[in-house]
Amino acid sequence: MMNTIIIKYPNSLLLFFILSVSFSSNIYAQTSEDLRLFSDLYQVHEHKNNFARYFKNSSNELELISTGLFVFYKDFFSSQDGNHCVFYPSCSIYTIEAIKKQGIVIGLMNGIDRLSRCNKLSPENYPLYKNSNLFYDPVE
Amino acid sequence: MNSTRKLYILLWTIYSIFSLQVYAQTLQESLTFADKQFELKNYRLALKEYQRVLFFSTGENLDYIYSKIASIYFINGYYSEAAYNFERAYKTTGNERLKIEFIFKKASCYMLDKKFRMALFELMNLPDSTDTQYNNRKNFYFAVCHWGLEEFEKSEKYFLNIIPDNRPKDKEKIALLFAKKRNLYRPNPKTAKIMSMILPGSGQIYSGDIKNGLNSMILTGGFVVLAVYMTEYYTFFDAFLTAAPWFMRYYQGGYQKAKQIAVHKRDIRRNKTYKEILRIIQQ
Repeated sequence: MMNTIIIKYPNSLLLFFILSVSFSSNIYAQTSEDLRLFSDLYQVHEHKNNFARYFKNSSNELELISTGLFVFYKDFFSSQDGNHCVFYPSCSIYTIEAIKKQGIVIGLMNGIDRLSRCNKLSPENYPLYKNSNLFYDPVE
Repeated sequence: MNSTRKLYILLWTIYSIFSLQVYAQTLQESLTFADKQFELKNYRLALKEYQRVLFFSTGENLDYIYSKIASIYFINGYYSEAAYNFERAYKTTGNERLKIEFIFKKASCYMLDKKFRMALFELMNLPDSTDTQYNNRKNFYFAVCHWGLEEFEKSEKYFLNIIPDNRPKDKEKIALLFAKKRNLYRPNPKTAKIMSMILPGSGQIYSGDIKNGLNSMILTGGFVVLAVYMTEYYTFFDAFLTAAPWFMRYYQGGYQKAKQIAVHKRDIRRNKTYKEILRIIQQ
């Protein structure tokens, strides 16, 4: 019977071979693809806070001191604290960014204002940040 | 010929051309256009076109369209939507081979979304076969799912099934990696938390973060010193009112942090072992 097929259809063997090769390579590719797909499934991401970047662009000594105090607070105190701030960015980051943008006097006043608003009493005033429960309130 | 008449003729010509083009746009052409956009990685436009084809479709190529829509969602990281569309593709196809492929795809969506139990439910639907490649793929999916569920004994069994019998050394290597349970379960987050509850900072040091541990010790210790100092020079009530809230804040923060650090370090170790296993399999 096999002989009849080969005589009748001389290209059938070649076709069969090509199909077999193509299918097997397809399956192999899928397995490799799966390995690649799941290789980073349990990847752990490091969250390194680079607060030292705030030292840059300090226009005067007062700003430099306030930045130093901020970095000390973030590294020594805030790193040991739970997530209590209701805002994103947190009140300390908001204050330092306000100081950088608006100057030491207005920035500090804005920071104090932010601290006084750091509660969940008026959720209607702020949108939520991404998928978290934090209120989004950046420095304007 | 006056200018108004010329304008009318021009407008009529433009209108005719456009209406002809709209008439000429068939479903097949839309599908081809969508495929082209897919290949060009214009996923937003491709998705819109596939959805248009789906809306006007008379029931042909549904599995293909759903799988393409699912692929777009999958590529862009919307795994829930991708799983939903792979499910529809699975239901609309009559091809058994494609059905199996869609089950794998659905499972991978759930796995990437870290819904390992759901992925296992999907994988249970896979039929038995004698095909080695297929079985390897199936075992790999099961192994990764059980790993995600922290069922390491089952995961080991499936990983070992992937390695052929003519590679006993690789089998041994994988068995050895699983035998070192220390790598998979330590540092224990509960132990770290309890240690930090008893002595602030000790949980962090146990987890391998000495800087954070010392920081916690100094900070909470500082508030204890402050409380003792205030009790001596003022009253216990003053000390309690002044130092206790701060102490409690950083004490609680400290042991919560210890747990987080332990989880983080343990996950790093697990990931390292997992990558090592994948490396052995890949060989």
